[in-house]
Amino acid sequence: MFDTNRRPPDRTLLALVLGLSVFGLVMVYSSSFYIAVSEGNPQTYYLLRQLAWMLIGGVGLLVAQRIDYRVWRRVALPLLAFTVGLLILVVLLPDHISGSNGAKRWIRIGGFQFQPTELAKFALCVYLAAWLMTRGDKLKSMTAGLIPFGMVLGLFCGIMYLQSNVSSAFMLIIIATAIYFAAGANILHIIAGMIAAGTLGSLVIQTLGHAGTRLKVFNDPWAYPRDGGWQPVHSLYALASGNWFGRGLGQGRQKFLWLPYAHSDAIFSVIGEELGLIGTFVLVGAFLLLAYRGFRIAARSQDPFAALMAVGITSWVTFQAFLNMAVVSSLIPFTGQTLPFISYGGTSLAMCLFAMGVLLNISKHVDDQRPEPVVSPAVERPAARPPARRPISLVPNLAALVRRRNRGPRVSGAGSRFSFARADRRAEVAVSGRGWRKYSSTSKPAATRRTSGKRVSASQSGGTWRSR
Amino acid sequence: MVIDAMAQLTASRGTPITRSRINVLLLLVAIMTVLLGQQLVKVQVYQQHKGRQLGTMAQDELTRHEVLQPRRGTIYDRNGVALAMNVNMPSLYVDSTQIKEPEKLALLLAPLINKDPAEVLAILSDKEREWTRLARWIAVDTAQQIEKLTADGDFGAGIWLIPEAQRAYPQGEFASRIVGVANHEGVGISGVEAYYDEEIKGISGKLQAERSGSADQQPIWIAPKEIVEPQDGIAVKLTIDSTVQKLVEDELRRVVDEQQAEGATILVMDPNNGEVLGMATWPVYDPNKYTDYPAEIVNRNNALTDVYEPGSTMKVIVTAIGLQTGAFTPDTVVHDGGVVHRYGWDIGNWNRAGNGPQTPGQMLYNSSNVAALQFGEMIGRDNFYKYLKLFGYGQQTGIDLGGEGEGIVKWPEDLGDEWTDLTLDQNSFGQGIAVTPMQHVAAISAIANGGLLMWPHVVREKCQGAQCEPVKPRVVRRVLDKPVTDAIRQMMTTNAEHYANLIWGPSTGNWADQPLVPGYHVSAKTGTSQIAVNGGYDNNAVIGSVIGFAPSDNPRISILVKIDRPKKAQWGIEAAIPVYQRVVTKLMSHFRIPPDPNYKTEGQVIGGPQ
Repeated sequence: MFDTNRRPPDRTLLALVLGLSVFGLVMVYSSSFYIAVSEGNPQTYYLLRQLAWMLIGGVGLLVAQRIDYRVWRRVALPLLAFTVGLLILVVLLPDHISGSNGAKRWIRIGGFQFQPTELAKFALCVYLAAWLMTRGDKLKSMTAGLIPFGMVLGLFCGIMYLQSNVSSAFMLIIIATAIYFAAGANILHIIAGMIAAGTLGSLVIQTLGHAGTRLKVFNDPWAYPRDGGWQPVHSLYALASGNWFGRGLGQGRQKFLWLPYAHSDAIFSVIGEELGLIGTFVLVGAFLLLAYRGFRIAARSQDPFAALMAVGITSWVTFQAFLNMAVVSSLIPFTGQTLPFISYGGTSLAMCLFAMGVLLNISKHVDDQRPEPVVSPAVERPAARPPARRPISLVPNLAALVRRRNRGPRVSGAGSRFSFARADRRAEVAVSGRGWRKYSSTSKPAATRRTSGKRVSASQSGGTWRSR
Repeated sequence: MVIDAMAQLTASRGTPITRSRINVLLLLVAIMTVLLGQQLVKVQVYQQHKGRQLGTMAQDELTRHEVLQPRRGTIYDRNGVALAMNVNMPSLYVDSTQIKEPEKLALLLAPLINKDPAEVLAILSDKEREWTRLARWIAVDTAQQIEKLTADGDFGAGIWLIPEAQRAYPQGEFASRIVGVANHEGVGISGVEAYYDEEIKGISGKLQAERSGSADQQPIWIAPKEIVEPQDGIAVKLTIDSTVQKLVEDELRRVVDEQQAEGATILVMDPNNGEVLGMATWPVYDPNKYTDYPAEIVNRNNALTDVYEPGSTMKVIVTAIGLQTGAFTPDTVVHDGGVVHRYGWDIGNWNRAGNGPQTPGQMLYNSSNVAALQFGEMIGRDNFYKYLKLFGYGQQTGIDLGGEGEGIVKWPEDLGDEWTDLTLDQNSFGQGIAVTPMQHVAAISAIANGGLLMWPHVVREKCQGAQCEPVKPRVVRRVLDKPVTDAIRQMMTTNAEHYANLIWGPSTGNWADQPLVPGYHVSAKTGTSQIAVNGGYDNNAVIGSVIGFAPSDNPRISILVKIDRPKKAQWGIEAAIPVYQRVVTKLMSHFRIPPDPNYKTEGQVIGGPQ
């Protein structure tokens, strides 16, 4: 289960995610302190909550980037079932646990609040990737491709409808369509599906009053100052007040109870007001870079499952971000999606960080089965070895666990400069083919070879592990 | 299907995906970036959305412009008694959007603020109204009841009691005609409040700040704010002496009550500097409830606005003009045959009885119309009207109170051919000319003080904080020379003794001339004026008046008493003389003027009759 792959993850992506999260923390504080005070809380109320979730998400990220992504393929179906169960639970739970503003989206236990739709996004990525990678050319057929795909998606959207959560349904459709498209679906099927979903969607929107008015409000927000026009108008005011360079960090005015949800859905407006066009452009650029790195990982993955997962996760984070920013700047009608990594919202932040962990793990495997730059004559070519038949075990054996305790730090690179002895032993273990590393099935030959190669080069260069 | 897929999970290695499709997704993101960037430039740099200027609109909404009201200045009498001041009283404001249970609240509130429950409910249940003043200036105990009401019930957060400055007149009706009224918007509409409004109201300041979007509009503390502090209005100290004012108001009430008079005016002025010490006119009103009175009562001061024919009191002025111009001397004698024929008209004395040869002094003593007419003719048209102008008739006195009348003088130069010599004859005994009480008192003060026409005024001092600036008395012009005024004062003192039997006769049995105010030489001249109505005269009513000053040799006060249409006194003067006598008697002791103990006849008491 735990990845033996020692290659570094995509560091640009890691730095980007880390930077966005920290920036988000700053902006959450800036945009929420007055809201917190006006609600009778200390001004750090939202900041500390966001920080706590960020730590949870950070741990999630570190763990996820250590878990071999192939594990998710095995648990795809149980995860899906679990998520669907949670989503249905939300619908069934009484309003005081699940409800807020006329929608049922949360599970609240004590002070803890969880939004299962965020988990659903991840579960959908995993399930669709695991399922569509096996379809091959069958994907292009109506019965084996579009209809089952539509049924799975329809299940989620149906539950979202029961939760009055049109925007999340929209987001799930985008994620699913992106994976479906990347998996090689028939373009005509996608267009047909879009038409069908659009027709159905417009019908659904008419039954849900609040989503219907949003379209009218979008056309002239000033005509509905009390019925939904307030938020887009003040979002625009905030952005416009920022001009080129912004009012300065912390100097925004719209967060003083003018702009609703200034710290969550509309945080992009606050960024625009305080940091100006420069700030919004840098942020848009950051998400563009994130998309580039994410899709690059997908494109370079040899494993179709990894590629589809990467496509799903990247689409999720990127499209949600662009959706949010487009809505806030009144490019498209209003929906309630948070800005990933930036907006206040614990579940979203933690799940996005966790998903990034998974993506980072995939990034470690992008070069699998490619020729290695460092070749050691002492090791046989990978092609000479038969592929490992041992299946991925969910529980590593106890001996391996004991050995693992003696290994270096989990964060790659950190602290390893003080562990020459360990590094040598680790290399020996790898060479001898013993230890926990052998449970990693497909990457084992490459890893072994690579590590032993490194060992040679390491000893040649005086034993510094950092040089790798 | 799903099971089928799971079965294949481990078995199949899957089909590799094509990079071109991923590149399409990346291209999609790139397109969104371009679109979003375009929109951001449009919104943030050009600040345009659907034809609206976002930046300006945002700032307009944020910025709060508030006028900081200055405190209106206090009005004091000359001894520092507050006549008009500001009191902070709670006003009831509601935010209907935050009110819960409006029906119940309306029923409970309505009786407390004297409003119809339906009307209150209409306001409370209108969810568009964020800020309504339900009641202004609530009594303190009512405010406490409202506080208790809102504390006990759960009506939401939308009820506020906010202190607001109310103009209060602690003395009520007292001196209300002089002080005047500031209306509910804080604008002076009459009296000193109106005349000095610009100075009393102060200079309003302004506050420009940014506010939060919450209902209470808290200021945004990080935003710079701009404050111009208001400058409070000046406090004014009136020339009015509350003791004098109280006295004249009491006498006014008494005489109006006794005589069933339709109106009355008593004016007391310091002849030496033009300060008005007391000014009372009927009817009175309470400025605290000024809306209960008709506007013509609230907005005018009859002592300044009403014109009347001065009648015989004008003979004093005629005598003064004659002596000053040298048209005659105190010893000049004319014949009074009771009736005289002029320009086709018979003009006679009040009883049409002749008084024989008359000096100017005797003319005043007997109030002879025929003699006055002849003295007037001696003066001649040019000098007569020149001096009327110098005395200030037919013009405003310039007193620092609004709405002053000019009186009516038929100036020969204005009328041209229409002017006839008959007009001069009539004017000589006070007919065909109309004056305001204020003009008349100013003119008589010029005789009292030795010939200077003083500017009458009611404000003595203006104070900005602790810094006070006195209002300096102003001499308008010299009208008469001292010897002339000395001669007239003597005549008027003799006159006053002539009126004394009306007061003292019943108690002393002495009906001869005697001191009017025992212990003090005082000057007086009475007049019975006919009331001009529609070109003729009202035969059923008169205005009885007395003008004069006291003490005669060194006058401290000049007085005018005027009683409109008294019902009991046929000639009016029987009503006016007792008022004059009482006012002078009391003021002499108020000003601590030592009496001459020998100036009295048997049976008279100094300070009496009580």
